[in-house]
Amino acid sequence: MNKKIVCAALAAMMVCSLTACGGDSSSSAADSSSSVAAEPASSAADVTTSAPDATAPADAPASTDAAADAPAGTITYDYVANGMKIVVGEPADEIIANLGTYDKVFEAPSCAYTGTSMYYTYGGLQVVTYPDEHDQTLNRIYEVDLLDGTVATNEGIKVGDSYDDMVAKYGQPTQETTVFAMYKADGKAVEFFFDKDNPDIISEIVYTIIIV
Amino acid sequence: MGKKKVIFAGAAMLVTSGVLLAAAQRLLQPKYMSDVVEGNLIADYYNTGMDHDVLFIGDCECYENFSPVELWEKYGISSTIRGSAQQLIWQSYYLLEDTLRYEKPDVVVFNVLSMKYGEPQSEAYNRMSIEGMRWSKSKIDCINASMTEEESFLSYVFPILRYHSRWSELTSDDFQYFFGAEPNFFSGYYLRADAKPAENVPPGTPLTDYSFSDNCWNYLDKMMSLCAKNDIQLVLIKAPSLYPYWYEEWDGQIREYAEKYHLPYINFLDADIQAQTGIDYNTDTYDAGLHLNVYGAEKLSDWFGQYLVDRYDLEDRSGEAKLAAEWDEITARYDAEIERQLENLRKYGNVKGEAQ
Repeated sequence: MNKKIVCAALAAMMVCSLTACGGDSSSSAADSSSSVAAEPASSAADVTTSAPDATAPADAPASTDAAADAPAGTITYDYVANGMKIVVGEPADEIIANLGTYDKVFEAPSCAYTGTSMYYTYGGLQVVTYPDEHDQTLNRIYEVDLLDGTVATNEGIKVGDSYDDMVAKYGQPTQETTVFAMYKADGKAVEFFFDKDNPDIISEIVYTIIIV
Repeated sequence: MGKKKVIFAGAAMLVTSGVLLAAAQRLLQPKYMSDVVEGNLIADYYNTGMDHDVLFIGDCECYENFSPVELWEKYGISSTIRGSAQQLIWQSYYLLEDTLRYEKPDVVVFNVLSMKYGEPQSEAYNRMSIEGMRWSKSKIDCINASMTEEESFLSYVFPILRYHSRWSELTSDDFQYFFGAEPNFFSGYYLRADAKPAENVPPGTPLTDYSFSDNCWNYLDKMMSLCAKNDIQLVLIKAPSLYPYWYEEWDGQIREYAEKYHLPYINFLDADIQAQTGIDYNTDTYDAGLHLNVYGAEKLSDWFGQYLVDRYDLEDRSGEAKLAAEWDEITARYDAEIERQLENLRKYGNVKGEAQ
């Protein structure tokens, strides 16, 4: 129960605080409400395996724990880079420090407040942080985006792969439309978005938290 | 003690307690002067002459991107902005209702970014959008529409219930501005004279659902109806802020709505319009593309002023003595604020004059 309360609070903070004028309310606009139940952050590590090194840019954090042969159903919902789990909703500063030098960064200061949402880009990997609503000096992970084919999910799927590739690794999506497929469990999700002109091809992958 | 004396003593005690409580409440309420000045935007309206041809309503994309002083100086258009940080669409609607209690502008300009929020978001921003409103049915409705689960209506009636724990955080501002804030704004405009080029603006993360909520459409309908009922032209705009990302799917929904109801809709992010306004994101924004600085706001207002004059028969009112006197005062403060910020930039490297 306590976990649920903590997760609900995290979800509420995310909704509220990714910049005043609205950061990207990335996951489901349709789902936006209040509470969420999530697994403890530690659980995912046990089932993560390694991504092929070839998918990572030379100087960018790579998804090192994916399993090319991960059976469908053992999905990891925390992205792993350089052997480090990036857990959405958790404090961000240590993770960002350990990810090394970013290629570019964008600061989005909150309107009227001192907190700043940050977009760190490492090759094809983007990590977004947001200031905690109650402690603007505390940054949390908002989402992890895989933007191109140089980085893969923990299960080995990357931008440019097909819907069938995804299903082969992940199984049938929990939820899907013509433009996205989502796998979710325990309040966390991996979302696959498809190219508008070629809806069989993955155009972006997002690790996020589900707000129920 | 006689019965009258008892009643008198009781009444005196009651009045004294009430006065002390009111004083404590006022002391504990945030003054929004040195920090988070945006908290005074909504109340600032009541200090204006309430004689405006054009009313802007919306979030920071309104109060940081349009310069009413420029509209006055160049076109003689008297305008004001009723905007606050993360102002949600129902808050904009009720602020429109509130404004119509005092005046009837010819044109209402609504920035559509807040269509993305279908539900109450944050108490902190609610407070800044609502607490400055004078009491009316509109304010009551606004509170009821805006409250998050943690908030109570009573805490808006008696803010001391919300702020009682500020005792330990009181600053000199709380005493200095006990009787009221000094004007911070320029007919609702928040002025910044520094510049930070827009770089590395992230592309929008895809959404699983781009539909605006029924709640938002409902309030947009209400806004349109209220304007029509009062013979006011409603103009929908998307301000030229590069972030938060404005999705083409969102834009399409607004365009459809505007076409259906014959409303003008201007997306200032459109390349053609950007070229016409002349906004340069290297020099005309102070926070890398989120908001315009005063130079960008003046360019935008120049273009938009001409648009308004061409279409809505707005007269140049610069010859009206009373109005001109009011705008002279605002303009003098505006010019002085630009000078103050530029001086701080020269001395300290920031507009606030904070030593590095």
